[in-house]
Amino acid sequence: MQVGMKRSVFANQSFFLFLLIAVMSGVTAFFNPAFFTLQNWLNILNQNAVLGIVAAGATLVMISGNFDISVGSLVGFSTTFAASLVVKGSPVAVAVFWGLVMAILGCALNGVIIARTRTPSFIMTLATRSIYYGFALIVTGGMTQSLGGKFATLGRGTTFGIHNPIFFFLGVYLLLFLLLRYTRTGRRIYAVGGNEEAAFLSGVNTQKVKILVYLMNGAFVGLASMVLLSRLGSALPSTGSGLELRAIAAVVIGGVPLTGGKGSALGTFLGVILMGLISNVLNLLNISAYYQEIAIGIIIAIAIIVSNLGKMRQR
Amino acid sequence: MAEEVLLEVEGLSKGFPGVQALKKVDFSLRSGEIHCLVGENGAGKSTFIKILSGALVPDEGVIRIFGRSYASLTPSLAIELGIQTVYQESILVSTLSVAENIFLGQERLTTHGLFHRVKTLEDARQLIASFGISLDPEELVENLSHAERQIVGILKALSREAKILILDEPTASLSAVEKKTLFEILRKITRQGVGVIYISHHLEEVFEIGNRITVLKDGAKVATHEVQAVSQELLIQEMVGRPAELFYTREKLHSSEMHHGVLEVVNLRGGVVKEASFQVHAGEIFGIGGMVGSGRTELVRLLFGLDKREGGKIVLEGQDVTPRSPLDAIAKGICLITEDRQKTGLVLVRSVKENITLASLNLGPGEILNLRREREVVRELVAKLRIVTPHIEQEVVNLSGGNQQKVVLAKWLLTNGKVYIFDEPTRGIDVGAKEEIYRLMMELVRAGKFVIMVSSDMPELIALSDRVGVMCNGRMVQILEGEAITEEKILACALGMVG
Repeated sequence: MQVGMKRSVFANQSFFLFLLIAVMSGVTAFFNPAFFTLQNWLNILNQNAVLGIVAAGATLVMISGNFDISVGSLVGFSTTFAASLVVKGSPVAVAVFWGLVMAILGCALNGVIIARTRTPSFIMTLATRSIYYGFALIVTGGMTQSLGGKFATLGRGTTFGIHNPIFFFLGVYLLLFLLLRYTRTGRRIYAVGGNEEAAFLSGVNTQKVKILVYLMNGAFVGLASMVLLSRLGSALPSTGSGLELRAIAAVVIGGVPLTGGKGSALGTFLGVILMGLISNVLNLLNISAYYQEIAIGIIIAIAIIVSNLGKMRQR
Repeated sequence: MAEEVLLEVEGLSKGFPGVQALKKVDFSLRSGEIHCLVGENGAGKSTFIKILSGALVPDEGVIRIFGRSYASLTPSLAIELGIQTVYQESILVSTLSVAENIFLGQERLTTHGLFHRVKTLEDARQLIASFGISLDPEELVENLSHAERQIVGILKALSREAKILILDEPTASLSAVEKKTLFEILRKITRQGVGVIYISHHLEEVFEIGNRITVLKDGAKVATHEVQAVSQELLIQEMVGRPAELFYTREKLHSSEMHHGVLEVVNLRGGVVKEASFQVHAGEIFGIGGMVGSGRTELVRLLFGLDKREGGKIVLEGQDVTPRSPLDAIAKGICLITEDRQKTGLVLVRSVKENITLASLNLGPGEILNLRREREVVRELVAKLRIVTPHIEQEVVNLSGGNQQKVVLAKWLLTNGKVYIFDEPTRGIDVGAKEEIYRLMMELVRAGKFVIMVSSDMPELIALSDRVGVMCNGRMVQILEGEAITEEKILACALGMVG
């Protein structure tokens, strides 16, 4: 009994990530004392809020055994849609509302098609990715849509001296944690990802679960889009491009296997923090940004190898 | 020639963290013999054959093959030496044809080094014909039945000039007729001098086909017997380590204990199932027999609302409960314990706890889970069913087959259904766990549930069922009762020989 318990702690991806973050922090603090200031940590959170919120949605999608790679395009579409409304003179609140609606609709459409036609989500969202990017191009005519200084509070303002995106970031992860741990829907998401057939035969409406997952993903994507739009003050069709892959990377680092069925809010949260930390640390150590991509790649590779160690040992 | 020793193993040991899977096992295989390996799950059979096929490296011991000694093998060395292993789930590429699968890795090539389609087909056809089987070499493997795949797996092994053939539970999903074909193939190749190591849970088979029998228990060898010199009772005693009944003998309920409800299946049709009508009384086990492909599994799928129904209805205690979907079936009190627990019964990567409560999530009041209550309920069931697991958060994938099956059962017990349908309830489960599953089925009977059981295991079907409905070509052709439930009668009905 003891052996089993112990092994599960060390096999735990979150534990390993925590260790990695602690070691990186220790080393960096040794070279640059500025690292361990509250301000620096708040910066890390603030800078990674958008990625974090998108990764929260990706966590749900990937635990259910699916992908959504249309997210980057959808961020481009929903931000440009909202921004273009503002340019045309709509009140900010109306524009933001429609921006959110577009993100949710886009993801919901992904979910409905994937659930009803039982098509592989990777390919289907590859298709809609192109479609949503096209929408963004049409909406903007290829031009930058500037808000002209409106709608800056959400992304750039502070409350009690703390940047507003941080509240959204942390709030989203609290929600995700509660959803996955304490709700029936959360349980079913794991079951559908772990074994869809077994879940179906146990009376789980697997189509409904999948659609729900994409709907929630849409809500997260919408929120991330609006935070991003507010922070940037303008939008382009390419706003958010590549975000979906960074989010998938964070989720994988956080311990969700590509086949789904496992993962946690804490895991992805640490995954996002780790990715943010790498940029931050390399900046503080005065290492060129070019190396950051390489570092992130290496971390992803290590994370996957570590999570596979258990399987390798079984031989 | 006949007495030449192909393989000799001495003092083979292998340990995993926490378990000593093999303890100083000695074993030998002669040319032309079928040497059966029996033992409960976890006795070390799989570890043993994995070492022989080169998939595992032993900690200790010597493997002598054709007189040469090896400390360990690799998969490629094993194949080179003529050792071929066919696993329970044969490893085939489902999108390739039968012929392409057989010659995968030893492709027939043209003089230009390209794939020789014609020769591949021809060689495959020849191989198939040489064993007197009918199988289309051009058919894609994904269109084959489980049994046919098994045969392709064996052909693939034989095409490599196997000198030592290892079969792991080859008959797990074969019907009586297919089993006969397999045995004929085995007899034929042993006459050519091939040695066969045959692993099975079915003792009748072992006695029918084997020359020698080795019993493993907890990783150690108990004994090796000549087949003529041993009885089933002794083998079971050695496997279990205690005297056991030959078959499970179940108590029948006294009429005073009988319950009165009736489950009626009326003219049920759909897909392969052309017509099935029968009644099940509360507190009895209704067995369903028949060949693989006769529509048994399809019938229970209809009962559970899985496949499209073309007609008929299911009436439970006067109420129409014909289900439209599994969800609907569960709500109406119908449970299906599927044939393949790993593929369709369990979410292997999730915990014992989550698997047990999965089907009952609908039955609670709302969206928010009561985790404390859940833990209590699960602990109760784990204790009641004697599920062996370090803790309830353990992933089900780490449990033994018997314990996995108990988790499936616990899941359905928790839904508190009225009708329990078992499809092959003890497939691939060891003797000890089997008895426990039977005990639980009896508890359901005593509680007045309606129990329906599909089984290919004749002794099981005969010993457990109050009545047996036999399927043949999609129809329930006969319902046998009492003394009439014999292997001969069931087989006769299943083969369509009813007057």
